Amino acid sequence: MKKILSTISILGLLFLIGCDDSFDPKADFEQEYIVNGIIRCDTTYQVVYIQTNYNPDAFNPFEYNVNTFISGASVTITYDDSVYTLQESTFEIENNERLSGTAPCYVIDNLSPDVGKLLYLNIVLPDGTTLNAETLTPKYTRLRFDKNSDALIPASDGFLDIEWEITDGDKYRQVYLPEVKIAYYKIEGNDKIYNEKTIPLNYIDRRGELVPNYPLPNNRSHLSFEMGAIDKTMELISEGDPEKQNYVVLGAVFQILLLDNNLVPYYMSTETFLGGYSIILDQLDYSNINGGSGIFASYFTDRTFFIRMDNLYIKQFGYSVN
Amino acid sequence: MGTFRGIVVDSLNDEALSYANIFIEELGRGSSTNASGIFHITSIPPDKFYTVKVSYVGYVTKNLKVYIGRGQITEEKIQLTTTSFMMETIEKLGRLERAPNEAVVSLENISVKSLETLPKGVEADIFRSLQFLPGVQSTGDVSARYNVRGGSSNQNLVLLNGATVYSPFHALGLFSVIDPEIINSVEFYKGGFPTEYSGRLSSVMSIVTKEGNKNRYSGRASSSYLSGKALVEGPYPYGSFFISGRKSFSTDILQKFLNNQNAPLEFYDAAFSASYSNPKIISGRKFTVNGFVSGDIIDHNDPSKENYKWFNSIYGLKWFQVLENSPLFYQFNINVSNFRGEQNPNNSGSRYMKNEIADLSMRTSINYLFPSNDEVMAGIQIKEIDSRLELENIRGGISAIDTYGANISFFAKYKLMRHKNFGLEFGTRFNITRIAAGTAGENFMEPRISGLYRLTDNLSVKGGWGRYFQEFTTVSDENALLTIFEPWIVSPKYLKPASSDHFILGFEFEPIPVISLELETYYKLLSNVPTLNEQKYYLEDPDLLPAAGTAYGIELAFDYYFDIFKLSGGYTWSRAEKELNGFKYAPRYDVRNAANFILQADLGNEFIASATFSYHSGMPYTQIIGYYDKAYFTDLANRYLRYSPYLMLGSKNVGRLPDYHRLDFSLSKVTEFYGLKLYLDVSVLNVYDRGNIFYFERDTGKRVNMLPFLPTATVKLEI
Repeated sequence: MKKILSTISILGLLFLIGCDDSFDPKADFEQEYIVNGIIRCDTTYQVVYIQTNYNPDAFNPFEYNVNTFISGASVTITYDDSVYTLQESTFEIENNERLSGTAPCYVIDNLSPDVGKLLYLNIVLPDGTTLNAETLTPKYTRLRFDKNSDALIPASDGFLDIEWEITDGDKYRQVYLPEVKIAYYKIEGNDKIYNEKTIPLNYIDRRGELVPNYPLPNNRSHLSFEMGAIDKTMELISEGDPEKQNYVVLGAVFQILLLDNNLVPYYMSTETFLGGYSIILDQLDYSNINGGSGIFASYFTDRTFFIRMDNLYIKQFGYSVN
Repeated sequence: MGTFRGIVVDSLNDEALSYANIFIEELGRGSSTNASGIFHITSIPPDKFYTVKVSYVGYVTKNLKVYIGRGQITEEKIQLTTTSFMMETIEKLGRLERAPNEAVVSLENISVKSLETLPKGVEADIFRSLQFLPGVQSTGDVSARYNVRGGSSNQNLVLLNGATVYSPFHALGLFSVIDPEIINSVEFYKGGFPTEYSGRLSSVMSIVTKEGNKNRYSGRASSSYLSGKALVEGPYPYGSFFISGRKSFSTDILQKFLNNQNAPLEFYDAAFSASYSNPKIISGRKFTVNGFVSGDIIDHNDPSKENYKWFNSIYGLKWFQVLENSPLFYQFNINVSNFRGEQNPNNSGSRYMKNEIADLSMRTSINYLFPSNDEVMAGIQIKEIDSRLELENIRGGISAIDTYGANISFFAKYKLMRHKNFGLEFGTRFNITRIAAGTAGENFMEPRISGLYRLTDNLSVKGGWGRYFQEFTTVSDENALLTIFEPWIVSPKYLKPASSDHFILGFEFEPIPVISLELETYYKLLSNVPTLNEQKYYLEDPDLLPAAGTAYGIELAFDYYFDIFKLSGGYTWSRAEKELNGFKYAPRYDVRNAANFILQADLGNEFIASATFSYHSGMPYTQIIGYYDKAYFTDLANRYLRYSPYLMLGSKNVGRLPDYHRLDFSLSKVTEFYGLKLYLDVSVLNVYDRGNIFYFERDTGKRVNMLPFLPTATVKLEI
């Protein structure tokens, strides 16, 4: 009898400890302020957004629809010993995966910083919290596109290769974001609606969904685009529109964006993908905001280079040529 | 004085028995066989008959009378007969199957026989059995990878007949590529390893394969849910051979281990060995050639998913020479170990990687036994490495990291064995070159010392210190809980070789003949450990950064024999800390409390039952502290940004996952079947279906658990 009782006791104990432990992967929530201020040096209009972080009850942040933008802050940018004050405005929330409607932002329309200059951001929030950050605008760099480049669409060997040469500046620390776009306009009555479509290097099949793979920031001087990706970009210009002849393709444009030293690591933290069997627990993030999180950075568009497109190639998609 | 030396073998197949005990009753001292089954006992008063007791786990103890002549070496080949594993007949052998004054620390001699009685998951496996050792931390049910005393898994050296096995795992790390059927002996050092071993910071597992049945031809075949395997062995004039092979035929059961993920996996391994020893030509000389190949392939046959391949191939030659009537023996080994791994992303978006290593090692060593019983050993090792890692960079271009270099090292040690109750072993390794290219003129020493003092017949104290270097590392992300492709590279020349210092102090105690206790404490200092630079943003930024670390702990192990039972157990209290760029944190394998118990019972009639229980406290993880809307650059030129919720993480590895524990049962039976020997095994894993957390999905908060309740069965047929 004793043995039976002992066995039952042990089995009961094992059953109890076999139950899953309750486990909450979240730590206590602490409010933090997030700044997004990306200064474009080749325009005068600049905008800064301030938000708070948030903590949804469960693990689906997309269902957390509380507007977290902050109004009533004092936002200044110091540049060349002058202090520029950004005015509070509102904007229509677009491209935000959990919010819609309008929200406050801070804008200025007369700040076009020169290359190689220090910008200092200072924010005083309504609760007295101070946030600050700085960016050194990218230096101007001389670029020379390869005169011998056969850049022509369509490329005969299945890849569009573009080469350029960095002839000045810091070849090693300066980072570029190269882009190739197809420039076109659509005829709507008497109007011409101009637009551009960025070409990815290729398309990646991620679990059944084709995802464009755009160039990442780098400091090399060569890019290779799959012709299949260019074909698909051409198709997407008029996707769903049977009136193909209303689209006039002007050609392809290659341009380079010069990024400051904050944008590169920030950009990298948004671009990760692993093999299907790998499990990465901790993701990278980057912030240069003192007292909070987010990014204050700068960039400008450098040279533009036109890539010839064969008229027959344009017409095979049903489009018109200029 | 006289000397007694010889070899201890299995009576059925003449296979050498490593770490058997040889004890001379009249002198109250003895020795143990080495990995080749050979033993030497010197300084024996001559012109007498002695009673020699020879014992080994799983074999019937043998007593024999031996006459020792003056100034002579008496040689004997001693055959032991296996027991039927009836507990009543198994003698208590204790944990120490070696000379009572041998100054060895942190060594575990793993009995392959014991693997057969442990609960099996998919395969009986040598790596799986390590998790029951104090100080060894398993990375979970999903992987047989292991961490030893606060070291990362790439700091463990696995040697097969002296050759490095670069990819020792099958099936995404679930079990070892080395089939237990081919193993003769396993030495596992958790630290403090002697001068003959080098190249890793934390542990050494040295596996020696069988040489084949020297008495008769035999074969065996077995099958599990996962694979089928066969082994053939037999004698030929002046030698013997074995050849074995294993191949997967169904991977359905792997889904249970891989969170129901379907992995179209195929694997195989094959091994052979052939030995030749003709006393008519030169007595005491033996040549052995061996080979091993393994492969793992994941082919999705789907262009949207990535494919993987891994291959090992190892070939070796050993020449072992014992000089006639001389206390001198020497050994020459030449080994070639090749590894090739490839990750082909197809259109999956992951990056292309290919890793190739060609490792040619030559090593010779000489041992001399003094009449005082002291022993000196010296040798040289030349290791030539050609490694290549091809990686797809962020632009889609392929860049290659090539290294070709050689490590030349001398090693020597002296074993002070003349005192009955005191033993000391000291020596050093002198590396005159580094493998990394462009490091000519750099050299480094690896001094080591260990000692043992027997306070009483049943209580001894031991300790050791050693310095270890490692020039090879894997390019692995420390944040990766599971990664199946970890390429090896030679540490770049801008990093000093990684090094560690082990300080070990311990006690061995046998209060009564059926109980043995062993306690060891360790303190380990690590420096220049290559760690992936998570903040490499520019091409000229280094890929690897030097990290430092400390690990310390207390390990307690015991064996207790009673009636038909054997109870073994262990407990470990430990701490590990890593420092990178001035930031200190607990690495993911910092498990602070761990306990394991194994209860084995002989139920008679060839039935063996066993139960294993494992517990460890929760592993560290990084907590979620909130979310924010992060800007993604869809079209930066036009300031077109997309905002999406992004996780905010707390300080690295501050949180702790729930504790892990699991109970397994196994019942095995050996029976006759139409004149053939049939081995049957039924195992039940995770008996009470404990939901041990593997990880949680940060996106959904979903908890992903490890292995559920799982019954398995295996059948083995021996001809």
